[in-house]
Amino acid sequence: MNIEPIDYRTAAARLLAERPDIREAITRATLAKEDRRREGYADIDSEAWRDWASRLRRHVLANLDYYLEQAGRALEANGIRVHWAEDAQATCATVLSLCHERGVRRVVKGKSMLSEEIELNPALEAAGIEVTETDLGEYLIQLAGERPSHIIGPAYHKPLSESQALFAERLGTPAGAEPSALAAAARKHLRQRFLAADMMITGANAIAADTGTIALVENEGNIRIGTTTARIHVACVGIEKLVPRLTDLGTLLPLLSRAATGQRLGNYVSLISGPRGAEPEGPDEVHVIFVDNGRSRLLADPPAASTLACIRCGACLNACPVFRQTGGHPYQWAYSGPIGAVLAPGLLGLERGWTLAQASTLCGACDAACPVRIPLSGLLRLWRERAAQAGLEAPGEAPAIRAYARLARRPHRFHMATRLLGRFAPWFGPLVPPLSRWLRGRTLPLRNRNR
Amino acid sequence: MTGDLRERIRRAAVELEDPGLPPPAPRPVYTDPLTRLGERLVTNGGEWHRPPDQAAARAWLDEFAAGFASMTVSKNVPASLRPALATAPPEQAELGIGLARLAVAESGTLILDSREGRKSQLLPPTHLIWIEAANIVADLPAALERLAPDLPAALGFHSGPSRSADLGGITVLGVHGPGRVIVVLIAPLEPL
Ligand code: SF4
Repeated sequence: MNIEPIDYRTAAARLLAERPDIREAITRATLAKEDRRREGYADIDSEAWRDWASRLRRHVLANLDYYLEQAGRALEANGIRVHWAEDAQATCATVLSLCHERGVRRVVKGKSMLSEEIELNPALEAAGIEVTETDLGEYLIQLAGERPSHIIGPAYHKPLSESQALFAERLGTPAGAEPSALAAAARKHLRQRFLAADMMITGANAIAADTGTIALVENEGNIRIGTTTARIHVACVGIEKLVPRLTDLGTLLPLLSRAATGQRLGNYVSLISGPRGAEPEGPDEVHVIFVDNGRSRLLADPPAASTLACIRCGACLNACPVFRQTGGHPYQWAYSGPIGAVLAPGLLGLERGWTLAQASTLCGACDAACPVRIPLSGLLRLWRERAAQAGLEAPGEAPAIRAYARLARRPHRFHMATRLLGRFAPWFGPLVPPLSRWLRGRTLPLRNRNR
Repeated sequence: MTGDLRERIRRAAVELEDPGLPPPAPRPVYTDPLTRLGERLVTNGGEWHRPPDQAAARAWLDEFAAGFASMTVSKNVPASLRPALATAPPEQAELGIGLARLAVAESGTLILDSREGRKSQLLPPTHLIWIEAANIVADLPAALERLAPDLPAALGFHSGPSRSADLGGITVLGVHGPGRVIVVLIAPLEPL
């Protein structure tokens, strides 16, 4: 296990210095999504829905063994094969052995953060299997050889000009082509991949324990198509992602959609309850791999276990003034923003993950956004205290990150900022030039906070 | 589940406070689901038609279908709702035609059953969906209650054309699924 602490500070400083365009793109995308979320919450009784969802998810966690057994039985009864994987390596090994046994050479994928967490793509590619991401944003990232910068919008950090250049080079679209032309080129290219695919790999937004149903939410239709055309569907699912009853999805999925994008419901929802059987189309086999990878350890830590209630909507990322400056790359693993910062010490271990919990102002914007009411700022505090108790706070390191975080919250307070910079200059090092540029910048992330 | 994992999870879970299953969340009351379905679908980028009777529906269909060269039709669509177009495999057809099992007014969602064939719902660039008024429900919880006793291999919930904002934050339609979705209300059908 890697116990080298994630060097968030250097990565954030470098990104701010070298890629002001990324900051601009992320700020624009996240502010827009934050507005959409507020609109989405406004047309329901969002307080009551969030109470409901919070209670539902905590009930599941407190009975996780029961619901996992029930889900396992219901899935099997539907003809879905169920596998259990202790960690990332075991999950990749399970997928690889399915591929080998069934002669799979071409895999298409739906966007899955769990797949990023366990680094499934490199494992498949090392075995000579062709892997194609089919979510448009994820496909862009794959072409560019990058990592997702946001759990919902993997390419939120990519300015249009970069996508245009990438598509011109890789798909032969004309320079400066309109987004609709780029999308048409991707559609054509990826359609061939769908039709030639042996296996579709997805995550899952939830599994209903009573009916053994896999729920998947998306906007493009790539998940629906891949789970139709490939002969094998494999869903890699964290052990925490259960709901007791199919009907719970009636409230959970609209709440998730509103939190993520402000939509009343994601444009496409798939409820998968088995292989095709006697039906005309669809996969011959459906597999669910339940993945632990540190989750049962986090579950055994009562003060932090509520982290596992997360439904991965990304709302806390959009609400976070620190995340909005850089996007997810400086966090250097699958999950970023407030949820990434509290999952990192929980799943990767305190030694490796503690630095991310420093990257926050504790302003509470994430708490106010979270559809399942995870006390994110409280959990950030908890991990900071634990880091301090373990003697992990390198002198100056954590205060410097926190000062940076405070600046992120109020970039307009120039005088305070210059004072802070003076005080923390020895620790900021490379942060100083980008910060001063940022303070003078054209696109200060200001907004009316009273909306 | 391996005994090890089960034991580990059981021991961890039992230490957590259990608030119990929550009572249902409050649901807004919708008075006119039919009108709302149309409004929401249009907001989502779909098209909505409400012909006054079967003859008008047929006339609309013939005119609409004249714009296409080929179609793929779900086996649930009765002959009276199939235009006189050449059929083609779903991979090639210009138009897909299907019959929704249910529709959800609140989100403008059509619920499609995999037993009618999934490819015609997804592969053609245009998708025409028929819906009977009796199969329109107010919200998603109501829909799931009706669906739960009879689940096919896959249910697809479609709330409008395929969309993405991954290219510089600009919304594009038809990126994978149909870029054009037309929903037409019909009178009750004879059981097939
Ligand atoms: S912690 Fe809450 S707001 Fe953040 S991704 Fe998870 S569910 Fe969404």
